[in-house]
Order: sequence, then C-alpha cells, then structure tokens
Amino acid sequence: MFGEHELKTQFIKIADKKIHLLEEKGGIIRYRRENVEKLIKNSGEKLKVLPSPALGYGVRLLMVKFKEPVVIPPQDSITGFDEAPVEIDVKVGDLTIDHFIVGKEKYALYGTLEAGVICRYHVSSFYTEEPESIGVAKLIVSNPSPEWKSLERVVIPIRGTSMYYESTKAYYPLLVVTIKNHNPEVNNTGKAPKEGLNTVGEGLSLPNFLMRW
Amino acid sequence: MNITNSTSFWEQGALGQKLFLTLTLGAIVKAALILVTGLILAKVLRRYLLNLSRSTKYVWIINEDTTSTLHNLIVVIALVYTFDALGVLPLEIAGTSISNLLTAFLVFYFSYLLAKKSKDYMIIRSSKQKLPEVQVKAKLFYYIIVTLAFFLALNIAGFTGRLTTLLAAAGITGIVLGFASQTVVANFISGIFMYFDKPLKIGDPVEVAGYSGVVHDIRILSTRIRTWDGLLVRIPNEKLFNSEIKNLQKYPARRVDIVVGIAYKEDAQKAIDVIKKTLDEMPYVLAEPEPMIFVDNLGDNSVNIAVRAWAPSEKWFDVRIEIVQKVKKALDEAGIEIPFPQRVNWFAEELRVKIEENSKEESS
Repeated sequence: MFGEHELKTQFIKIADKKIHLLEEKGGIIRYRRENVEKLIKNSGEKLKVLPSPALGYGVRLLMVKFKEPVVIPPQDSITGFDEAPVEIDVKVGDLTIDHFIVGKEKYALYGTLEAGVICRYHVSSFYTEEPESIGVAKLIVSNPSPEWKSLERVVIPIRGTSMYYESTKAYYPLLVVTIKNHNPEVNNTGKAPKEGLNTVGEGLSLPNFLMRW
Repeated sequence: MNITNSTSFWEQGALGQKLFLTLTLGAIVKAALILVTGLILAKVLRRYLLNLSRSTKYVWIINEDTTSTLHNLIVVIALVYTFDALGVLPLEIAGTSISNLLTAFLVFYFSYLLAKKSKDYMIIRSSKQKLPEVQVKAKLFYYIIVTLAFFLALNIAGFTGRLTTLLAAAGITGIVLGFASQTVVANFISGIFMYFDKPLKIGDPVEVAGYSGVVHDIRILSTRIRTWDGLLVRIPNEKLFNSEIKNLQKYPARRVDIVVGIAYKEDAQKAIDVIKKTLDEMPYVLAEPEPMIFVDNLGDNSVNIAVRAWAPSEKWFDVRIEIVQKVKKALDEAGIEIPFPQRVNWFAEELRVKIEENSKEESS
C-alpha cells in the first residue's frame, strides 16, 4: 500500500480508495483514481504512495477527541495511541500527481467563535496498544503537577510535520503532551514513534501548541 | 578696476576653438565625455543590479524591470546634459535652464515608474494570506517614493530656493481649496481612520451601504467592492466609515440557518435524527460547535424544524447550498413528507355537482 510501486498494470488499494495503473502503448501508463486520470511516461521511475498530514482544505491543527477522557495521577505519565486521519500523496519523482483524503473528513472549531481556529476533527479512543487504523499517533501524556488531571482531547500542530510509514500504516511523529497548570501543551517532536519506519519529511520538531481552551 | 574674465576649462586653448557657429571643440569633448560616462555608468549599474537580482531576496525592488528603468533614466539624463553641453538647450524658463527642467521631469517620471513597478512586484509576489497587508505596504512605499521624487525634481529644477514661496502660495490656495474640497478631505481622513480601525480588509466578503460583495481595493479616497454579480461599486470612505459594515468572514465560523417543514403526520423525532445523521456526514458542517436541530414551531401547513449548523466562514455558502439539498434528499429517502401549502375548505351548505350528459355522448 504505502511505499514504491512499479509503473505497470496493477491495482493499489489504500483504505477505501483504489488506484488503477494501466499500461498503454508507447510506454505510457494511465493513472486512474475515481475521476482523476493522468498519463505518465514510464522512465523506470517508481510511483510513490506516501502518507501526508490531514490538512484537509488547508487547516494547521488536528483535534483528536477521546471517546473516554484520560485521567492521569499527579507527577505521572501515560503512553498510548490514538487513531488519526491521514491523507495520501501520490508522487512520481518529486512531483505530486495526486492527493486525496481517506476515511472520514470532518472539521471543528477550536476555541471561541471570535478568536478560535478551524481544525481537522477526529474522534478516537485512547489505546494502550497500537490500533488497527490506517493512521496512528503515539502520545506520551505527562502530568508534572501535584494534582490529578483529565485530558479529553488533544490538539496537534500538523502543518509542515514529517510523517512515518510502513507498508499498511501511517504514523504521525511522537507527540508529547504536558499538562502544565491547567493548559495542556502539545509537542510534535518530529521523531519516529517506533523504529524501522520510513520517513516523509525532515523529522523536525514543530513549535509547541498550548491548548488554551 | 580689476576685471577678471573667467573662462571655463573647456573654453581654454585649443578647446575654445570654434568649429561651427558657437560650437567649440571643448563643448564637443565635454558632451562626448558626459555621454560616454552616462552610458558606461548605465551599463555597469544594469549588469550589477541584474546579477544582484538573481541572488537577492529584495527582488520586488531589484529586478529586471526596475534595473531597465534605472538604466533608461541614466541614459536619457546623460543625453539631456550632452545636448546642454553642446549648447542646444540654452533657453531659460523661470530662472532655470531647460536641461534642468527636463532632468527634473525625467527624474520624477522614472521614479514614478520605478515606484509603480516595485509596487506591482510586491503585490504579485505576495502570498494570498499576506496580500491585504502587502497591498497597504506597497501603496505606502509608492506614495513615499513619488513624494520624495517630487521634491527631488523641484530641487533639480532649481525651485528649492523658492520652496517657501511655493508653500506660502500653497497655504493660501489650500484655504481656498479646503472649502471646495471638504468631501475629498473627509474621505481621505476617513480612509486613514479605516486603516487603523480595520473593519474590513481586501478580500473580505462584506455587506455595506446596501451592497454585498468582496472588498476589491481600499484606496485613499474610496473603497471598491466587487458585488457577487460582478459589478464594481465605488464607495467613498466617508460614507463607508459612517455605515454599518457587516463583515461576513471576520470570525472563523459562521452559522447556517434553515427551516425544514415536515407533514403533521410524520414523526418529528425521526426527522430530527435523519437530519442529524445527514449533517454528521457533511465534512464542512463543524462537529464543534455542535449543530442544533429542533422543532421550532407548528406552522399552518407543516411542523417546522430549525436547523442551525456551523461551518468554516469561507465554506459557508457551499455548506448552505449543500445542507438544503442533502436534507431534502435524506428526508425523501426516509419517506418523510415535506408538504406544500394546502388548505381544506368546508362549505356550510352541501355542494351539488352536475354531470353534463353531453360529455358522456362525446366520449362515446
């Protein structure tokens, strides 16, 4: 699914979407996905199917709302996973020839009506083991305060983030959520959530996001 | 009495030798030197600036266009002084030579071109998000350069000494014009206040002074709005400043309000559930704030269900259209009737219906 594919007649299935490659005369490959069609001159280059952050129509944040809020004891931490939406970039060389969304697309307002921000929205449970979904984010939630804290959702900065993938799954970089005082602070570390994954992007950390609301 | 007859370097010795009418060898040498120096300076500067334009990040000011304008300016000014040296432009107007007047005009004209091209470059190269801010900066830059060029041109023309006279004259003229141009001044001042108040910016969809559309440009005296049907409306800033401005995209989210009527015989809760599910499947209907769907009132012909859903401001219109269409489709699929206005008439006396025999005969 994710990774490099030879330019020859074949189907590539990605979640609920299907890419159809069809060899035609003159070394031309017809790329087809739903209503999108492209003609690619075969030069021995491979087609790359890569994960990309769920920016949707151009947002910069992803809000994952937990089905069950996570409660953390004072000066303790918990490591877990959540399902996260991803999008797909199809590339030949460095050129993106197609980009599409897999799964459900939904948005929400984070913050007030006057000063909030629209972000991509997803509802997920907090898993202690990696879930089966196509997109996964690993979280370390720490509570350095002397009080019990509850975390109902996490807002992740995703614009410009690197992504990681293996054959069937895409991963957001490791996220560290620190619940300082009353406002959780989210750090997209840019680091791989586990070893042995392929990287898209430079693996750089993004500025921390303070969840004020 | 000691009279000194001062002659310039170009009129001494062999250089002072007359060749044709009043034209001397010195004048020709001087003219040639001016022309060659001007051409070399123009070429060297152009080459330098072109090289610089390939590496600089200030490409809005250092680019092929502005370099070419600067090159032409130097060449034309060199030509003017060349003709002056040859004595072709000996006339004086208002105490200053024609060559100085021409140079002043050219400096002003080319500075204007330079400022205009830089302004256009700044606007073309800016990203869509930064466009409103860049447009204001570009215009500010343009007006500063044009004003400076105006005073520089006055200086070159030799009017600087008379600037105080000019200003005094301008003062008197100003009083006279002030009364005549109250509206212009009011518009100008309103424009400045609007800049700081920022009720709208270029690209905002607005409803103002009875017009609805997108702010196309904010100028010193007026604001231009492109209406939804593609007309240009020029609203004087004073009128705009005193009007109620409805900015349709100032906040990140905007609510879509529609009313759906269902037949009295239908289950209202079922209809609410169907609409809720439909909205949940629409990406741009925001999950938070949650949509509100409730029975609003019992109308003459239908049970009216209010649908209030939030959408990103820039997607409001698309969502508005989509909701109406999808809710209608979903209710149809669920077998819920959306009634049209109907009236039941009761007659106090029984109505008698007469069936004509002719119609039977005709049909047979």
